[in-house]
Amino acid sequence: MEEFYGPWEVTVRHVNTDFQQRFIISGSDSTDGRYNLPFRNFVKLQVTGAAWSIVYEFVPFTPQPLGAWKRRAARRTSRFEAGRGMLVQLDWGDMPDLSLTCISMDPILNPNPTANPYDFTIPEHRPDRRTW
Amino acid sequence: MPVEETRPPQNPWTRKHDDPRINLISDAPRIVYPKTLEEIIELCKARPAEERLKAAGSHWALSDAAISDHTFIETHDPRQVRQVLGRTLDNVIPKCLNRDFLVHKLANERADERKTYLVHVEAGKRIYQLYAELDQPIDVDDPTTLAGFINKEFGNSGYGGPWAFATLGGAGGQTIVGALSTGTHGGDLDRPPIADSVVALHLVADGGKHYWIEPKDDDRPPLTDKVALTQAFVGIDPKIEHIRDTNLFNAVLVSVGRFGLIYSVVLRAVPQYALHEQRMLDTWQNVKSDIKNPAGPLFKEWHYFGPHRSKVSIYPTIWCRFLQIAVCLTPHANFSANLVGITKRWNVPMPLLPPPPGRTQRVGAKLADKDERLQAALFEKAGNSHPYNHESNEPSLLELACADASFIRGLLNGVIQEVDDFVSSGGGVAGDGFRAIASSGSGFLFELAAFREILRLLKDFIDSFDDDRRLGEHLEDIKNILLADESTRAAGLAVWQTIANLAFSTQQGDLDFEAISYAVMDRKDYLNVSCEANVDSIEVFFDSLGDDLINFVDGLILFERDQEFNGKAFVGYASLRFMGPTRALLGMQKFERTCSVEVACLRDVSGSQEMVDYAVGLAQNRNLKCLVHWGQRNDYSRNDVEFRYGPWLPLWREALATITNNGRLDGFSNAFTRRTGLEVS
Repeated sequence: MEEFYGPWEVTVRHVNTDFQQRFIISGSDSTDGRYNLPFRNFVKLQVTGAAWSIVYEFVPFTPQPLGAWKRRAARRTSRFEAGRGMLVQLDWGDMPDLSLTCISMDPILNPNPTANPYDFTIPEHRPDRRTW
Repeated sequence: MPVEETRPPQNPWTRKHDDPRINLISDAPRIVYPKTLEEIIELCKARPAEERLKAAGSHWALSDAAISDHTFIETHDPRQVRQVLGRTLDNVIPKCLNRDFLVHKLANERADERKTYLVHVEAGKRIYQLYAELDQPIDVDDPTTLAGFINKEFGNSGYGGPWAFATLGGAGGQTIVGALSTGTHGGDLDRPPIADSVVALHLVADGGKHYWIEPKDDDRPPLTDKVALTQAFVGIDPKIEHIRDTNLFNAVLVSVGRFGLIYSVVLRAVPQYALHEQRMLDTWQNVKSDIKNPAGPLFKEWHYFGPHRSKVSIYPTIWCRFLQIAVCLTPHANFSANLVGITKRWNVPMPLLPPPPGRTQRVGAKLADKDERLQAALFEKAGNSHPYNHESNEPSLLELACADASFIRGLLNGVIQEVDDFVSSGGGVAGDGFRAIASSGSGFLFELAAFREILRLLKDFIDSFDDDRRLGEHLEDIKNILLADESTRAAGLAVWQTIANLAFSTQQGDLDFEAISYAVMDRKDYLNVSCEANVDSIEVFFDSLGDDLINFVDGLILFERDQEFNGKAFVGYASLRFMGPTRALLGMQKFERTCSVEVACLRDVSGSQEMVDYAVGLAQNRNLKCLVHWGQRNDYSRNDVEFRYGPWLPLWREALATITNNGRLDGFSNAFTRRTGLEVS
């Protein structure tokens, strides 16, 4: 179960298998539920809530018992990107393969950046060898 | 005799880093200066119900932790006038030590490097005072000392010292108890914070009860003999209570004064040692991915090889004991990179020929065996010197900047020369400093007219320079010249970045030296305070192996970049240090290896406060797993603390309930503990 706090945009990438798979959101303000992921489907959700979570489930080809949904833990990585703010990526590698990208909509984690108006470039001339 | 006190009118109280033009509290209702344990007990016994108490140490904390609702108990008078609660005590160590403890200790410390020493000190002793005292040889024929007692009782003369702190922060001006009770730490990778050097403490609580508290560690016998300890405090009313309780001990260790006044502590010291320090510049973008690799190059000694200083190791690996990464949040290379100064340290043998480097400069000669105000020995240089400089006895450039505004003038003149060369040559010539903030292209050629105007303004500024203003005030003036006017802002920002990166490179550039432990670790300039005034700072603690640490610094970098586009700029530093886990329930060092990020600013420069405010907001966002220092800017609410300290807070509250009669004894509660939920419930 992966926990999140506040508003996030959740986007599904790489739905590239025929496995039955879904993710389940719980604890959110208004987007709780099971979200099935058919092959090549694209999902984008705006999820808000003080504290909410995502779990991933799939049906293996050899389930025990037949048809049972199975949970898998995600590999969670995060980074700050210029222009996008904080991103969390949830990957469930191997088979089946799924990746969720979560972008924070919190202005602290995703400030609305100003585009760089400056061009700080200098010609490659003979440099003065004065050093610091 | 009643305790010495002051009351209104004209009874101000303030903190060390506040704006010196304004007293934080213009008229404190009461400030007391106890000299003895008995006076403290009486204060706590006789407290009127509506007059709460709070102990203060050096006033170093930036948080509101030490701000009392009513009465301030000074353990070390900030005005350096009244007697300090600063004695090194001899009524418990060695007389009350449990013999089984000593037998166990000596059996486990046969090797010299495993030896440890115990010292018992009052709360108001400053760290620099104690490291100076520990560094003195002990007479092993004097049975009143622990070394002499061990020699006499066990025939072992090997505890004569000198001794040292196992770890230290970057400054030694805090009082011992003030530093440890807020979680202050060093940067030693596998060593816990200073609080974990405490093996016992003496607490005076609201109502006047006082407690000797030790942990109940299973790996050794009890530290003290209960009967002997009780006898040591006979005549003091009420009788001391001797408690061996690990949860209580771990709760009181870091408790921001909520349990009461920690009157004294017994600290474990280690054999004195020397350190080798190396420092090099790099960029954040180069090194950040190495932080999550504890076996990687960041945590090993460098070896210089060849004229271009390539980092190649041809010797057996030496693992660092200390790592610090100072980050320049002002970008360079066309906003694509940020300088870092990487400092590494490792232990080296103490030099055979005394005195070891740094001892004379940072401690100096003993001027008196007992100074009446300090209640301890007086040392010539302890708390009274510039940071140790291995190359000379002269202060460094930044120390000069803080002490003497002519450094700013010199720095500006250097930058002006570089920019002047560029403008005069029509863009053909540029110094390394100016060139470093750009990448390849011709963007600056379109700003020649703006650069010319900026040069004119800077030259006018230097001509009317006022040496009496603080460093922060000078920098605010310079920033306004460079960034306020949108029509010249591009050129001005380029010059600002040049200044900032030059100053950072000067302060964090290559270094390679060895000295005695405290001379390397304590980098505080005690002779200059102008850079300390009107400062704000937050320190945030992360798991060094997680992503959140990198994300936090990247977030700060992006914030600074964005605010520079809008005419603001941060003046200060962001600094990463690494440390081991703590036993203290409310200690911030919760991970196998914790990394702290300290963001400190000079508030005089607009853009600096905005950066710290942003860092505060980021640290409080629940999507980042981190903890905030109790002694620096701390805006936690009760909910925040309950969220962040989930498993530990209930244990801490349980311990508080036992000392405060389930919260009824609230004499040491204050606005800070109530806001943060550091109460019984």
